[in-house]
Amino acid sequence: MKMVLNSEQIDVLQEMINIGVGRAANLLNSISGKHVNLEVPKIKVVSFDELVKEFENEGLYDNLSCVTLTFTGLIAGSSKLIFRTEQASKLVYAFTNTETDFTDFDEIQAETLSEIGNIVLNSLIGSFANLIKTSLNYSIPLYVTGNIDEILSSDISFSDKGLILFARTHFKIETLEIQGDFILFIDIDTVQPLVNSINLFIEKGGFFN
Amino acid sequence: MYHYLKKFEIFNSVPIGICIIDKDFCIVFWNKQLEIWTNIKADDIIGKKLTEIFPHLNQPKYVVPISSTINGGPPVIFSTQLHKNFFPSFLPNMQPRLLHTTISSFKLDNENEIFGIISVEDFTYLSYRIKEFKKMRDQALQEVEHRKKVEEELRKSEQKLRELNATKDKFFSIIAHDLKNPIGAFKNVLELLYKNFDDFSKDELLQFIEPLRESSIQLFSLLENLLLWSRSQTGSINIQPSEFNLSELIKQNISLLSLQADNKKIKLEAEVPQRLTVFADLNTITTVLRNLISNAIKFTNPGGEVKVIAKIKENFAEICVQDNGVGMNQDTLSKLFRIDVHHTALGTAKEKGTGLGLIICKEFVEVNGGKIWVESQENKGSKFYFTIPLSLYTK
Repeated sequence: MKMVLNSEQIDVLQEMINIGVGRAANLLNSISGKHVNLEVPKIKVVSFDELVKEFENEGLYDNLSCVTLTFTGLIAGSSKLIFRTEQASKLVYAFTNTETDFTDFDEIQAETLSEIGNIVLNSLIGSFANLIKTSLNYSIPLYVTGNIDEILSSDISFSDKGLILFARTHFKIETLEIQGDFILFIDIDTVQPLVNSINLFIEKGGFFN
Repeated sequence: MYHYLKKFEIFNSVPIGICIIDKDFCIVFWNKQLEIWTNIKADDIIGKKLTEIFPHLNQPKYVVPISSTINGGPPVIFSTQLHKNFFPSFLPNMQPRLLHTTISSFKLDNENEIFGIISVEDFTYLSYRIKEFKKMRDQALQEVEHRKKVEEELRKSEQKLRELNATKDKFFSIIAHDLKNPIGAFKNVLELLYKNFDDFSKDELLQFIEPLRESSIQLFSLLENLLLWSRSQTGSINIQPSEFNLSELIKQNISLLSLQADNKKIKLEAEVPQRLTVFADLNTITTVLRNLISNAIKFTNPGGEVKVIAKIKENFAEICVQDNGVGMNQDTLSKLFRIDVHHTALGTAKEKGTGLGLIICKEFVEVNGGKIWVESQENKGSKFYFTIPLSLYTK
């Protein structure tokens, strides 16, 4: 069952995402020494089936690379950054300038992607943690490769409960443009504290208080 | 200093590097594996600040995320490609060791203090193995590519041999039939005339001579083609491209063949733009034109029409010799221009042929950088097209 949030609540989530994205871009800039532009134009609340459809519509099934960060605390769940492997290879190339033909993705490239993905996920989850004014416990980021069914297999419990946020992300580094997908799964038991924090944030006048 | 230090000693038995720091960046544990990799003894650094021992870690890109982690923030990764020297470490050959570093935080039971645990994995040999594997894969791909090339060369060479064999067969076939039979007939008629010359009237003699004359014209044309073809096969035809006016050349050839057309009451005309200049070898293109026009006349019924049309198509002149003659079916069309297939057909006035003319046309057009092809419908006529490069002047 899909959780429903009103447009004002979604706007708050989008704002949190934008703050996280800005922080992630700054960190990526300092690591790569290049200007990294990171955009997450629109966040959506989706059901598990709609999430799968988002990937189908883009022709994304096989050869995917994913960095996953799980967290527990006042809000619990997992976050994922998913790339088509050829896009992941391009992203690593943009940071390392190592020769690659963008077709194969070895373990050394995978650990670089894990670092980049971890920075983005940390920044985005950090924004949510700040919103509810709590600290979370994080797992070590996990790199997974495979098709979309394999990548989402650990999140199958969200097919009938919980909150799923989905957003397409765009990295622009020099002349390269790379697309990835951000997914945030929030456990049903911890959705309410998040919604309460959002509502409180709105009541207080959001960023203008 | 820390009464629980003893608990960390278990990390001396693991094959990865472990360093534990407190929230002030002070090193509280440094395991045996890190001692081996860095040549720094635990006794020399425990109690000292991480950034004091490794000053490069003072850079914001390290100090900011590490501070966040040891204050309860998310874990951070420092990958081998982006951070070659988090803990500087070298192999015996002085090459840098590739160390993958992860920093996360933890609390001990009954303690409130957060520690940062820096775990370090050696990716050096994995990286070497990946490089070796990629090298082997690239070599295998190169080998496959090389084999494909060799197979292609063998295929081409086999094709060439087949063509050479077909050329030889064609040559012998022409000598055996197309030359032997008419010359044999010549010999017999001349023998008859020689022995009985006085027995024939003037009119009867003319009746003998007329077919001999026609046959001699065809034989001469065949010999000319045969000679040209043998020269092209031995590479002794000197191709000398030059600029010439195609309109003029077409007019000259039409004029030369007009007698042959008139004899069959065939209308022969040209539709060519003035001053169409091409860049090709004049002699070979003359041969092509003459063969195609002559063929069109041969396969057109009396009262028919043969037209030579030239147009500019991109950087080429496209010449079409079209007739409204007998045309060809698909089976015949598939045999044209091929040395490996024997095909001849009698003309509408029983003119003989060997199929050699079209083979020569194809070779001569291609040697001039053009293409030749045919469109035909049985009982409606044929269109033979060929292209030759335009001169810079016409472009």
